[in-house]
Amino acid sequence: MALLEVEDLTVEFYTQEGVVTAADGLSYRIESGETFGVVGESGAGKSVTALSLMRLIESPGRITSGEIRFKGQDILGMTEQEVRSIRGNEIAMVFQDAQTALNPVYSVGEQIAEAMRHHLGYDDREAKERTIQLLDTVNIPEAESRYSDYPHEFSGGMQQRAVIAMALSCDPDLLICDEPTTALDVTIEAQILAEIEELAEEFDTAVQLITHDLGVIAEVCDRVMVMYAGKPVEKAPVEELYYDPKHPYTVGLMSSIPRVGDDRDRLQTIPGTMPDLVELPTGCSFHPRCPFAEEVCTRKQPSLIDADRDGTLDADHVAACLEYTGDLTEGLDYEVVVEGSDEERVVEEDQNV
Amino acid sequence: MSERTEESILRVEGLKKYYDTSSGFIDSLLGRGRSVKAVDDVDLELREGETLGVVGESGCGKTTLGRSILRLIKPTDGTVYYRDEELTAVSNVRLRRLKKDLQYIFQDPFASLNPRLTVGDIIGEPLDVHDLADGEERTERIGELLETVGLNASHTRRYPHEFSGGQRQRIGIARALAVDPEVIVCDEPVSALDVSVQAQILNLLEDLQDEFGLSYIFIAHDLSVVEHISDRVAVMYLGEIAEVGTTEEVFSPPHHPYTEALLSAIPEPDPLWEDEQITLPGTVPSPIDPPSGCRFHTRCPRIIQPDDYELTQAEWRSIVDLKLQTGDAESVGSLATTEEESVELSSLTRDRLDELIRSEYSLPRRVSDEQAEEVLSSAIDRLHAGEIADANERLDSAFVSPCERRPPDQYRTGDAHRIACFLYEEENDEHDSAGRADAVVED
Repeated sequence: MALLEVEDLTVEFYTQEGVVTAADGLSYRIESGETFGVVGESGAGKSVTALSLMRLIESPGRITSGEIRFKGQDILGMTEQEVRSIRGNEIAMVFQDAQTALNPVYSVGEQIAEAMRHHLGYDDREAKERTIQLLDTVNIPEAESRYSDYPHEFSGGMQQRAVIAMALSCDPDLLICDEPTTALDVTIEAQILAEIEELAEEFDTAVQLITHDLGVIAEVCDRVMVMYAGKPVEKAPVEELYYDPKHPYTVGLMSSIPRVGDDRDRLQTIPGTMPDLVELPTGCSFHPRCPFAEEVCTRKQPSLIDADRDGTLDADHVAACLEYTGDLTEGLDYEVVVEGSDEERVVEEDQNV
Repeated sequence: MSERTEESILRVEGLKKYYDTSSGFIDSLLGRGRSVKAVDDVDLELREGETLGVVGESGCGKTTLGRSILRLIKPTDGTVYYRDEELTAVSNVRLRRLKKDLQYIFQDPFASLNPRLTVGDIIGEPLDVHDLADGEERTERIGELLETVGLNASHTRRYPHEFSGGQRQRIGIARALAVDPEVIVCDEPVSALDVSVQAQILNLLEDLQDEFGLSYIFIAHDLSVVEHISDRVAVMYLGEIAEVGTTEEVFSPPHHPYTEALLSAIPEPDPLWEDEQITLPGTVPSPIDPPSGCRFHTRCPRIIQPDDYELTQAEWRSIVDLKLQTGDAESVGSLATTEEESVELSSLTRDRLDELIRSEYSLPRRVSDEQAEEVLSSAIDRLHAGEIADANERLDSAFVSPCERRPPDQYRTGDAHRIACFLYEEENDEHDSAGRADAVVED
């Protein structure tokens, strides 16, 4: 049994413009101890997925169908009280914007200690001691004197560290990190990512890492799910995704990143923008932007299927493209070039269009 | 800079921008205000038709630099020349005229467009201000501009909220283009955008440069973006230029230890990438009281050791860290940490404290240099006695890196490549003796 199993999750938001399907028939699982990446552009439904796991979707949003099983228990069927005992305890979350995630009128230490007093029943002294230890674990210098500092006295990187300390305080089995390093400088990003990796190993915690940055994914994740317009378009082990991407959107994303050391004059782009989630294009949602789209793509919605076509049942590498059901006549035409020696390699996706 | 090239369109000399921290009358009365040196003595030039990238971590003064160059904020000191005119000295009326040639693209496409104006009016505003077009001509020009940046001319009556982030950034670009400028300062124009849209905007900026012969100052924190778009790059650290040169010279291979660290910190979209990452400790120090000498010495992995010692680089770095920490620390407890929770540090034996401190700073039981070891262990003795100030004094007087003593000049290692790092002092001399006498004079 996997640690977390999400099946056919659909989340809808009822807005004045119409119904927004933020997550549409999403299924994935996370094994204990692994790092699972969710990547996509803004509006792809990454954060909504994370919030659903904690049952934090608020009106006008609603989880309309699907099942989320955490250690075999159905989270969606739980009472509010049961969910509260899991939230922050067994499943913890690190938010993108640490400054807003911390309450400005409580000291940082106090906020971290609160979760432990609540979930683990620590008394004030125990909670404080453990908090100082945690602050030290996440490399906050002079943890003891920093305990009573307020969030505004911390730098951005330190605030994010404090949020990580808070998330780890109850020794969760699953840590959801929603763009944990997006607001930080590269040097600090490198520190924080190394820390998340290290801590996940130390505490044997599974991590669901949400990001738009394919570089971050490559560095820390074991398996990846690429999302587009509320739907997963490709799921694969990290190496296969980068060296053998199956979905045109994944290819497009990778070729649009500028890389140090590549000397392309122009970047490949994905034309257009993410569609309006109220009025999704018919058929495959990606077809208006896809260089390989054919007439059939406007009619038929692809489902996630084994992209290697080797017939194994529980395929690791799946993609939602009609190419793999044999519906495309022209096929996909791109190649992945890994250039240079081990020291200086550049992976380049070339779309021959 | 002492040299001047024919094509230089914008020249910055000794530019400084200090902010005062005093808040209000009482503070200034008591002289409590201190100055934040956001930009400190920057020399740069922008050549015609080129893109000059400016990179650095947040808080290093990139934006302040961009804004003071165009006099959107008033520089404290220094001069900026646009062609032959001294931008920092011209009257406000003249400045307004000159703004026709000098435009700015803002970072946040959500905050930089007036939500109450239609797109047509946003783009039309600079046309009105500079009296460039009105009536039919104005409408036509707006439509033309929208199409230039890849939007539809029929969008003029829409409001900014009806557009996505990438489209708004295009509107911001159209507004900057409206007056047919020569120079555009792009302040993080793509950092708020998704990767696929980011690539579109970068390509658009390059196309526009070719079409209209624009010169860009491109400010960004993302090195791969800067490397992609720039002809030359300036790396900033704490208000100063650490290194400037052509993109090739600066990045492949990197020279300045700061550039090297920044480059290696970029997460590579390649799972099998196995390059050693240099992790810089800590964050950018406060610009209120910047470190002495080379401002990067508190974090530099390649900090130079004095000739008196023969330590490994890792040992030397750790000793400097310890020294810096004892200078700031309030108690011995904050220097070393224990696994067991409730051990009172003052009750530790000398040996145990020694062990803890060495493990905290990853120092070996004995450092490889006898003389250094002596000072180190005597400092730990003082720490054990609880006298931090004394320990710090010992460390301070014994371990002084040349990097701390005086700020490095900008050493010249190539025609246009200047590096502010003592590691390149010798190359500078070589380069000089090879026939170049016009080394950069500073101070």
